[in-house]
Amino acid sequence: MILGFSSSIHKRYEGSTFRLMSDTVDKALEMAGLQRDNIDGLIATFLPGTFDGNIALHFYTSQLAQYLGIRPRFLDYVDFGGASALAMLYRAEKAIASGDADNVLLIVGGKASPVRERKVTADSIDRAYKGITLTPFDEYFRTYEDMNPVTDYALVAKRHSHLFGTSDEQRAEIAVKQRFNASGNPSAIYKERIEVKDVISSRIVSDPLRLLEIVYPVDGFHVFVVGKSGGKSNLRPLRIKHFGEAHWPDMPPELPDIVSTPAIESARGARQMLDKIDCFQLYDSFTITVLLQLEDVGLTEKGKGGKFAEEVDFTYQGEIPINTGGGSLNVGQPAYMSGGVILEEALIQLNRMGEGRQVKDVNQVLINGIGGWNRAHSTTMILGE
Amino acid sequence: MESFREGKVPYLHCLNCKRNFFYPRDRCPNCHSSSLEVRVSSGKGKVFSVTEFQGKVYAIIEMEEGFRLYANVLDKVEIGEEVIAVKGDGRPNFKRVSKP
Ligand SMILES: [Zn+2]
Repeated sequence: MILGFSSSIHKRYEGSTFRLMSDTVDKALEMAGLQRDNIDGLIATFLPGTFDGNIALHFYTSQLAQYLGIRPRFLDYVDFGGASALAMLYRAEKAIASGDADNVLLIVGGKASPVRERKVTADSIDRAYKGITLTPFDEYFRTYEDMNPVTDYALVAKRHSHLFGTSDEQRAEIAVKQRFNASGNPSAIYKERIEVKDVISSRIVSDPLRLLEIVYPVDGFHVFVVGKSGGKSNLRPLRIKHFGEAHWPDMPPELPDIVSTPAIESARGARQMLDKIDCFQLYDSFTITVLLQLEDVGLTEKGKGGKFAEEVDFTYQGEIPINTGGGSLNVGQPAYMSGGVILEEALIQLNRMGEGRQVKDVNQVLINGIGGWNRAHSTTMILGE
Repeated sequence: MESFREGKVPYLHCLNCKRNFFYPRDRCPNCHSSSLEVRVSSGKGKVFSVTEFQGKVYAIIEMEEGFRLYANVLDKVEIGEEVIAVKGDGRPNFKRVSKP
């Protein structure tokens, strides 16, 4: 179970990445009532270029353990982008249950600003450095003018509109409702209420996606401490009531269509439990990402995501609360991955720590992570007692 | 790459299951056969999806032979519009097929 968690988010953090991580680890350990000496497991993820500006750190997880002064019996690295945090939690619980470790640290995040300042994204990091490949076929498409992942999701949004008549205003509703939720979240970086017209009049970044539909990459970490129950932690004894994972390695041109995500598969076993879920945390790199998951998780049928976004009140006060802290669109996306943001918000809601955006009586939360270049990975988790 | 300079789009044809694909692999992604042959497309395709950013047009094109690929398009186009491969700088470039 999760004994402690913590986050540190800065638009730009001036100190070292190690310092930022180390402070976040200490805050999470304090909540867990544990010392660094008690930690014997570590799972981490990162995207090249987003730790301290370097492309790759040799034996990354070992370096983290070295810096933190931890001697793990159990070490793992999960590389599913935004789907990683949930996969890490699942793996940590299994390691503890099987006796491979007693207390496992999960570390997600990094410093996005060095990448951001190069005017590339983590998914187009090859444009800032030489000798980097992102796919086995780079020669055939990484030579093109693109701006992944923005252009990739823009292609999806465009085709979704073409097939189902989804309007820009319907996608904008997602940004508006999430911002309403963010207004009650003290740690959100964007809190001022917005309306549909504000989203529509914001600058087009990659047609049809506009600035207010896109996350802002920030510097920060999310740390979770997973261990056996019965310690000093005051958190609810939550367990994973369902977990699903799916990976679609195909590049988008080779998928049957681009308007679906592997959440269709990872959420399959969760679908019959949807009416018992008190709030949802859906990966929100872009408005269209949320819209796809509304459909793929099963809150509405394929093609009806736009209508759902328009008609359903999914604010924290509404009938189906979604992204109750405002999501990454308003909290920011640490190191180009939001898995920590949605997992943390689920824990906040379940532990009644939601201050200005607490949903009443939260006992079960569904979290869905999407990640990887071209939405290759999806993890679906239901947390409850 | 040389073919793209000449405006030609090569692709792989699986002699076993007859599937056509573009991104080069030594096995068919459908049936895993290694019985493959390189062919050259007619260059004709339709826009499967498209986006415009910083004045550039980036698209997924569905070719007449059934495979899809990422490409840049020299004109502003909509989904479903017919395009054809044109000579470029070593990458697939397409332009709109002008309507009669
Ligand atoms: Zn075949």
